[in-house]
Amino acid sequence: MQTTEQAPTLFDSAYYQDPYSVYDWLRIHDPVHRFRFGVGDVPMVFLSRYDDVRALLSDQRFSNDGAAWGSEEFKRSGMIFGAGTLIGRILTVLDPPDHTRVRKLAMGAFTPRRVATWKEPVERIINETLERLEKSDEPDVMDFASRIPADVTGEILGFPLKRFADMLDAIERAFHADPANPDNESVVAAAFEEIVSYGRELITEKRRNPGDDLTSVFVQARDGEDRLSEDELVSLVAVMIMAGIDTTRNLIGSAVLALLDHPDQFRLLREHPELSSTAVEEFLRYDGAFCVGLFRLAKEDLEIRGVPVPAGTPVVAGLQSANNDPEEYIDPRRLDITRTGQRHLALGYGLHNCMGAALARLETGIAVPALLRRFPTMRLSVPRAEIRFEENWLLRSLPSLPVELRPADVTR
Amino acid sequence: MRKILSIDTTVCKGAGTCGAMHPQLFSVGDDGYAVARRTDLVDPADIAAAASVVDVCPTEAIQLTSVD
Ligand code: HEM
Ligand code: SF4
Repeated sequence: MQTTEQAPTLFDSAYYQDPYSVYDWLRIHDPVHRFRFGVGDVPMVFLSRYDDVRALLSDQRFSNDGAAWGSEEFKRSGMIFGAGTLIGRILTVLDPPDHTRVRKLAMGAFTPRRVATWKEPVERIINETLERLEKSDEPDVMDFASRIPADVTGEILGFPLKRFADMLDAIERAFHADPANPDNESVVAAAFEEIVSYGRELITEKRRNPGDDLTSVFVQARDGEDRLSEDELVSLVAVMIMAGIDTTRNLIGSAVLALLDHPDQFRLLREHPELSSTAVEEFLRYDGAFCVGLFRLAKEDLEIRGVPVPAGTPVVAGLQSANNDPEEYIDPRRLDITRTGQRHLALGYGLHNCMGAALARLETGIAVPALLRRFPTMRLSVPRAEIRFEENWLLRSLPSLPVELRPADVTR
Repeated sequence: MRKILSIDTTVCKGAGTCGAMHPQLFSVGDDGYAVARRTDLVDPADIAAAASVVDVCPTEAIQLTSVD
């Protein structure tokens, strides 16, 4: 008698703690995996192999715009975020030619020269954050990891401190709304309204008093006669905050956990901080912040490896699955900060690849080695089994990573 | 007008914006660097396409130079 092995479930509690064994199974047995997504019971397809994921991300037969191309089930699921508001039209969901136009205007603000000027504020903020961690009674790497991108983003965008704190609070309310609350929808709508109004306020201020911050550069961005509309400006400021803070926080957190799990690599990076740039690429590959890409909607009926994919189907790019495909990486679950070879897809690929990649690399490449240098014998202060990832389908996120900064009995 | 299209592989990060925008002009090789599929551009449409990518490449790796 033959038995067919049951596919493991994506996005259930076991998956969140160990997605990699699910990916391993799928890559071998069902690389174009049809499944139903928990929210809204939407039929979707999950791609797990490196080649397929990369091909999807540069395939123009797919759109990022769920409101325009998504299946009825997908539209009804409520997963199209910020739908109906200006936030629903951010860069990540635009298709060409709108995407090309906005991206081109915005990219002018991320020149290598400008990124170089961010080194000083990033170093300063990391030093301040280390001081604060040092003084903490219950040191938690995630407090360190959260603070850095939040402060850096606020400063780079040119926000006054207090206003930025209000903005972050509104974002928190927009994303962590309680679905059980009957007023959920209006809470979320009000939070999005608030985000938009802080954005407008900042832009008005930068028109009046331009500085050398990112917002001022966006305000002045021009391409011939073309410039960003008021709404595009607001949504760009919002996307910088929404895409740049939690991601960087989570990358720094999972990088530190990976190093604690691989003491030889911890030691290597501590002794050779000059390895930081390959180390950052390896952190991204090993446990990068985005588990999967944003939904890609098939614009027509098509097939992937012979599996029919009807128009409107959301297709999920398994970014971290691709980054751990043994066809591309030898012994993928071993952290090796000197690894070279195939590039990872942790910052995306193709049209929508991460616009803030240089900033993310800069922050992580300074923060992690600085932490090791300051606390060379750092270790977990709770048993390893207590370190749990959040049940978040998009981001690989640690709520907490408690550590002893200078355990008395350790020499490494 | 004639332009030469080239990629500076010392700075290219291989994120593939170029190939996704204009696959007829760019592809990203297995080594992770972009390559120009054609380097000698004379068709104004090709030149306009290449120029539109120059500003979008995150590392300023794409070079489009005039030849007389
Ligand atoms: C470790 C940190 C980060 C990671 C892992 C990361 C990852 C990604 C990924 C995977 C995408 C593509 C999503 C997709 O195609 O489905 C993306 C897009 C994007 N990221 Fe990041 N990101 C990080 C930090 C940042 C920062 C610091 C900023 C801004 C300052 C930023 C801004 C953006 C924007 C604007 C997009 C959308 C680009 C577009 O649609 O054209 N990201 N990011
Ligand atoms: S857009 Fe620039 S960095 Fe990206 S692959 Fe093309 S040349 Fe390289």
